[in-house]
Amino acid sequence: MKSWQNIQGLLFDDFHDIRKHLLLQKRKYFTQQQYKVRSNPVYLPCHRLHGTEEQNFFSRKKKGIVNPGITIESEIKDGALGRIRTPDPLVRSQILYPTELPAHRTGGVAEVAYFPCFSNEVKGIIAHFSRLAACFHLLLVLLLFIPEITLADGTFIKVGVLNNQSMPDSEVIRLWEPTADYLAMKLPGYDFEIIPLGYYEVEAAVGQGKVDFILTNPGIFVSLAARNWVVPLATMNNVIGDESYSQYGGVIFTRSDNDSIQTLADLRGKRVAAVNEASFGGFLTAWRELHALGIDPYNDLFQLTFTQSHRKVVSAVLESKALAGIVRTGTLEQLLREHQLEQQDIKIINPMQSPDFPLVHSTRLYPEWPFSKVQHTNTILADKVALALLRMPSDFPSRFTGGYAKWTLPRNYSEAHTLFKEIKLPPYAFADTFTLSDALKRYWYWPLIGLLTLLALLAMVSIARRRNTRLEAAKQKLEYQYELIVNSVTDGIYGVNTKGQCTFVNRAMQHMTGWQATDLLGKDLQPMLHHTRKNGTPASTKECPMYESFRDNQPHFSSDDIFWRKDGRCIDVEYSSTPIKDRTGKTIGGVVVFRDISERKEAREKLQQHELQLSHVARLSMLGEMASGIAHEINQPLTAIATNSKACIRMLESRHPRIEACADVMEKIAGQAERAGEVIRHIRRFVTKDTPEMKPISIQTLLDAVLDLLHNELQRHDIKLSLNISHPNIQVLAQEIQIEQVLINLVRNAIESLEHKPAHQRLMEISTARKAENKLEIRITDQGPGLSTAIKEQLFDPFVTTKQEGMGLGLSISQGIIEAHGDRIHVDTLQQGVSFYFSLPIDSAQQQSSTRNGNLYG
Amino acid sequence: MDKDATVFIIDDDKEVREAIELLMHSIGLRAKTYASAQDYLDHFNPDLPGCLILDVRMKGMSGLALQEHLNTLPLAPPVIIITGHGDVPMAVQAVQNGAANFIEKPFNEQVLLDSIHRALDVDAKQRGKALKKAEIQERLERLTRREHQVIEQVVKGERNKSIAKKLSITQSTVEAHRARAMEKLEAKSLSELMRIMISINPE
Repeated sequence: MKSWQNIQGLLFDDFHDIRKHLLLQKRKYFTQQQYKVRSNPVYLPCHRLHGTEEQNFFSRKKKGIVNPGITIESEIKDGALGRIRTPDPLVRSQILYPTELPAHRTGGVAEVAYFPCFSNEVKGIIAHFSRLAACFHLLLVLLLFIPEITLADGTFIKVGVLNNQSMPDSEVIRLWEPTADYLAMKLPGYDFEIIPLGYYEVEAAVGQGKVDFILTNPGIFVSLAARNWVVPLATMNNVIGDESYSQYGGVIFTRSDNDSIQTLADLRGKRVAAVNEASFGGFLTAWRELHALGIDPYNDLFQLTFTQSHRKVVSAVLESKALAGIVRTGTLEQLLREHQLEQQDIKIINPMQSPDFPLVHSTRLYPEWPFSKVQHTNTILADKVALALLRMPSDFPSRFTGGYAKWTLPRNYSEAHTLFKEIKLPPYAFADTFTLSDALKRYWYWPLIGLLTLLALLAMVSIARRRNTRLEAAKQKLEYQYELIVNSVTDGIYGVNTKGQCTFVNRAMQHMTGWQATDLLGKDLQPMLHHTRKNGTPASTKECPMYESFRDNQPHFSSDDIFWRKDGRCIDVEYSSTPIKDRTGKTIGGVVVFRDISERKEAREKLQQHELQLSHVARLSMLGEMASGIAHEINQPLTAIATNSKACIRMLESRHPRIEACADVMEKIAGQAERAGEVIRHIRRFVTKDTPEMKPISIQTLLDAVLDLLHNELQRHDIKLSLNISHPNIQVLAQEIQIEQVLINLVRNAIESLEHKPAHQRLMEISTARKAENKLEIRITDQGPGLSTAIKEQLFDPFVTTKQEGMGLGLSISQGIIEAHGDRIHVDTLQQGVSFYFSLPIDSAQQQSSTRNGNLYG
Repeated sequence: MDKDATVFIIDDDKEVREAIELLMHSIGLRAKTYASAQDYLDHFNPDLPGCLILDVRMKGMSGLALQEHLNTLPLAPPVIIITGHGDVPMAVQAVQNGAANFIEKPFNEQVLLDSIHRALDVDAKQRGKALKKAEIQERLERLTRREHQVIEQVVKGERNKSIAKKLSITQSTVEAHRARAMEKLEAKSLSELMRIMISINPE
């Protein structure tokens, strides 16, 4: 003991410092561990370590440490008594009452076992302090005590008590500790600890099992009981004056000079003070009465103030801060007794009369506070506690401090349940009476939000649908356009991949080729469309422009080709082949656009024919013009001759003929005859002058020119021409145009002779052969019907013709031309057909040069 | 046939025109030759009766062009076309233009001579008519203005009385004018007066 005396001075001084520091560090250093000391109580001459700061700081509201306000009551046995209340957080202590502690001394001096305990962190902090040695000393001492501390053989039973007056916790503990002490006394081996709880803490404390028993108002009890969290063990009987009551209710009052409030209904729109929204007597009981009148205290009052204390409600009304107040029954009587209120100052609203309950009240009455066991609490213990409470002697001091008369068996709290159901508070907020309109009133925003969301969704759906429709329409339009373009063009279009397989065809293509799309798609088109060339030779893919496109990636064009139809006929086409490239520029196929040019070709041929005819007509008309000119030239002298002779005759027949005059006329006639002869000579001279001289030209060139001109005609008549040129490079002396004319004449005659032959018999041959040293024979042979002898005899006479539209001049002119070239046109009548031939002189220069060459090498 | 009638020969070929001239002389017809259409026009005298022998193809103005030009004159001489290269369209055009004949060279002289005779006849008739018309015109011009008005009404078939009313003169004055006008126009009766008036103004 003495050693403790020594330490303690130090201890408490240090405490101030340590505490200050720890306060700064907030509470992280507090240990949850508790050391309990049952023996060796320390009696300390303590400083009054009271401070609001601690209390505030350790307000249970903040952290739920349900072990605050510790009252240390100490006694120095040999000296003055001091009573210290210290909710010191650092010193987690347990107040221990020796069993022999006389109950009557609780109001005065208590023996206190006091033991400070430190967490490891606290120890660490302490180490930093200047008086380290002392601290270590202390710790050492503490360690020495450990074996004694841990001897706890009993259990701490926590009794939660509703602090309905917002008293300091220490006050609550002071009031209820005697009851706890009583229980501890009655139940050896158990320690009871009072845990003051605010209105809002009860539920959490019970729910989390932080208390084992709970003493609370019927309101909170109902909400706990509804969840089966608590079971009532006893109902408290309250003491008002000298009487005790097991029920209570609410009192609604106003100042007596207030005339505006006569009935409960008058409270509507008024300023009202109540204790707390969870206060049973001080609010909920009144709410039920107001609710019955259709008044919602939260909405229908002008103002609803919660003062947190019954007495404050009364003072608020007296000070006119509120027009009416709600307190629990007994409050007003208590104040009257204490002379803090005069009877005439106030007036009770809706005063009720109840048998066995003389106190003023404005509401129905409900059973008093129940003492309940929390769910987890041992039933046996609960039974013991209940028994102890019920058996509490009437003179036990705890009753006075707790302000109650006794404990009775638990009352029926159904009325309290009804209250909650009526005003629809949890746990009955959604009782069966909860109607749709209630739900709407309460949760009107949910349907609204739902509705708005639905509308938004609908709007979005409609927008999406409209977009979809538009997209669909656009897609259809594009497809339609594609269809329209590809299928409405008259050109055939088809696509192939690089293997030559068909990938698509258009309608025109099907129409033109006679193949259906199904025949073509996926097939290699080369052998179907393009297998044979125009001249009958098979076509290979090598020279096909389409394949060419794949090879060089360039478009290709062919202006004159054929495609084969399904029915075996062919159509003349021009086409372009364009490579299709993918995004990387690699050729993935080709598209071929072709056009049927059969009609165009036909038209072109017709046009050529027409031009030929026109030129023929032009030639004829020129001939006619010339003939006309020549005729005029000759007619003039003839006219003069004829006229003069007639005149002369008349002169001679006259009665006096003048012979000299007649002779003159005859002279004139002779002159005119000469003039006519001169005209003829003049024409002949003119013609001779117009004839160009002969030039050396290769026979091949001559024939090429002729065949060029007649190519179309030969083709049109489907005539197979075979060329048999012995000396293609030999040079003949010829007047080029004239010889061409002769050749054209002869070839055309041959063509016409073959016209009525079947196609396979339309054969013609042009051959050349060297006949003599200086002669090259050109022979044109046809397999036509041949010539009759009569025709053959006058073949070269002018104006003899077998043709309807012919003039019969061709061969006669030709004969003249060949005669000019030193030969004649000969005719051989064959068994089938006719052969015309003539010779041309070979260029003497060439002849000489070849001779000279011969000499050189010979 | 008028003794003064002349055959105008227009041909750019001297031999031909001289041969034709000789032929004309051989049958006693007066003839004049011109080397070109222009030459003829330069010496053109509308009072000379006769007809034209016109070659088509000539240097300068062609025969057909000259024919068309002559057609615009009040008294065109008849035209005989001769050509060395007669074709159908040319002949059609010539005849449409009122050619008396279209003859191809070399021609039978009798055909030409017949044509010439016919043409000269036509010319003489044309000229006679024209002369008479001119005479009447001359007589008409002798009438005073008043006499002219009266005659106009008479020709329309108006009676003296209504004529007097229209012209606001007395009937006797009308009669006097009428008698004097008839005298001047050398019309012995009303029917003769009517014939004279219609011959100059057929409508």
